[in-house]
Amino acid sequence: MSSRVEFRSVSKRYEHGPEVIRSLSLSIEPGEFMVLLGPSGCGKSTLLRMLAGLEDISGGELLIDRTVVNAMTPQQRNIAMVFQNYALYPHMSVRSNLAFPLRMRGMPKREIGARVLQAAQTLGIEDLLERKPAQLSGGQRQRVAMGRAIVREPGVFLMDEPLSNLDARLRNQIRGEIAALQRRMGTTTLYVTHDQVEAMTLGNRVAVLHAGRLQQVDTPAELYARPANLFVAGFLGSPAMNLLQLAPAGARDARRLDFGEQSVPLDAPTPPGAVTVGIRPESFAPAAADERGSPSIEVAITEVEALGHEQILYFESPLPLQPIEAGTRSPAGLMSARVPAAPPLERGQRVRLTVQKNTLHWFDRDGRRL
Amino acid sequence: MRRAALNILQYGLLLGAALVFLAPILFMLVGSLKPDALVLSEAGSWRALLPDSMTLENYRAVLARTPFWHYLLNSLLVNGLIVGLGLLINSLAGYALARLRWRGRDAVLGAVLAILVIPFEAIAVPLFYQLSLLGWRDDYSVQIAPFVANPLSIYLFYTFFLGLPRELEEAARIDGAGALRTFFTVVVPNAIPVFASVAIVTLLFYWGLYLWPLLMTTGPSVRPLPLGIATFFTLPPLHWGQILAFGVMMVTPVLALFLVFQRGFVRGVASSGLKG
Repeated sequence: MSSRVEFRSVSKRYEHGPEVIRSLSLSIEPGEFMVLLGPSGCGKSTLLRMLAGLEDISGGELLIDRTVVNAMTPQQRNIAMVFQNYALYPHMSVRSNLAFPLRMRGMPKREIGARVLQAAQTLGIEDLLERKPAQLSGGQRQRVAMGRAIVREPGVFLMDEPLSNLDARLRNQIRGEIAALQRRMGTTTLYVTHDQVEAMTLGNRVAVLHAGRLQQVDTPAELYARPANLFVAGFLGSPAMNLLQLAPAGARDARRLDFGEQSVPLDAPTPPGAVTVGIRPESFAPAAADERGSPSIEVAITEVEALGHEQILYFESPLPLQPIEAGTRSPAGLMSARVPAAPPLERGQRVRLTVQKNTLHWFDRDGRRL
Repeated sequence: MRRAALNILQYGLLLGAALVFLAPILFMLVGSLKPDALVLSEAGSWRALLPDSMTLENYRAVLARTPFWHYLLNSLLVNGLIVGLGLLINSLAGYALARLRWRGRDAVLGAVLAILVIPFEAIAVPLFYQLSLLGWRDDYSVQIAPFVANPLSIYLFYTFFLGLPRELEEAARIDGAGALRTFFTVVVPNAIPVFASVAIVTLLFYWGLYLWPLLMTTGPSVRPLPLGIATFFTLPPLHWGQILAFGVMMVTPVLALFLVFQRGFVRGVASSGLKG
């Protein structure tokens, strides 16, 4: 059975320490795959541990299936967790590791055996049942940790950066397996990561956290297309969105977007109150030779990253860049554009770039989307 | 070439150091197998370590003249309980200090560390007085109870548990194990090395304890081996061969147990279930 999870104005403060979670409200529907995404120290793991019952809740209410669980022990919450370092019991075989949560519930031996075998088959680890964790590879340990979580058929899966110890190829493979497994089992899942690729590919919805505050909860596509604030805009996407500070409203033409001495006309006037404009690297495109007269800007390339199927151009920003607190950034003071691999461009070359004006993002003085 | 010479030098030094430490034990073993009269007369020569004739006469005499098996049984009982109960109580105390959050924890830890530097001899007399008031004299419990809780053992367990990955216990809690169950099914099996170390350290210390049983016991019925060996000095003439034979018989059980426990050091590396 899949559970519903609800955080109601939940906060967490350590004794004599700062508030690491600030009045956070979030609902996760039964069967939903929710990803908690944010930079290191944003409070995402703390939030997960509060749901697991491993951290006390300082304020607010935490509900599982409409029952307040603030004071419940981890075992009373019907959850299972996959840890970043897997936390397999080193002295037990894989079989005993999988059986442990069932034994703790006093399940009859025969049923334990059947459930363990079924979980092992689901994850393709039947051959490993008699091995000890030390005799397993990283990927196999990860699967055993998943097995220990699914064998109990819990109401909620919690996963704390479960792929961060794997190499890139294995990470991609197991990411796919986790997604497929979750769809098949339909268990409510809360998945913590700082990796936006994991967040965007796994989550039905993604909750972005920063400094203990929830920034935005939405589908991956919506987060990318309509970031609610400067933090989300700057955090999601690689290279990050170009965030440029606009000249004061009186000193510019609202119907044009200035790039220093160059400018491009806008389809619609700049929204009132806008102080920052965001342009995704892919919103730039090289101007075709016959487009000389069309609205474009000319830039001098400072750096090129050729990625095979595309290339990332870096160039000096003609406007002050908006500083953002965290997330992936272009090299200091540079803007970036994502363009096709052909024709190959070189450092020092000057190119004309057009701007897709319908994909601009506008933000007010407080960093909120307009 | 130079590396080989360096190796030879290193091993030579190590071998020399080993011989220095082994010589008294070898002297004891060889002396116990020699006719009593030769033990002291040959003590200054190579014959002390390389005898030309051997006999088990001293061992027979020890068994005939002293209730050796009774002393051994007393020692095994007293030390077995000190070690066994000590492992249980001190490990739980170390775990509570390392992992549980409770008021006054830091003060208790400070007290444990402070007690660590007080030598037993300093408290022997007050302890004697206190236990005499309780009427605890001349029995096993008076030889066991004061030594079960041991600050050094608590400290060794405490530092080991601090280094144990916390996620193992958290996983057990989520899997449905309570605090004690987590301790016994997850923590203890991954703490074999520290249990082995504490067992060895405790046993080595208390197996040879002399002052306390001498203070608290009177007859051979509850006295341990170190007081047994002392009886030779009260039974003239002094038979050094028998004293050495008694010494060999006294250290053999500890050596055997040491070899058994030593395997624990190698086993159970706690981090093997985690990444890497």
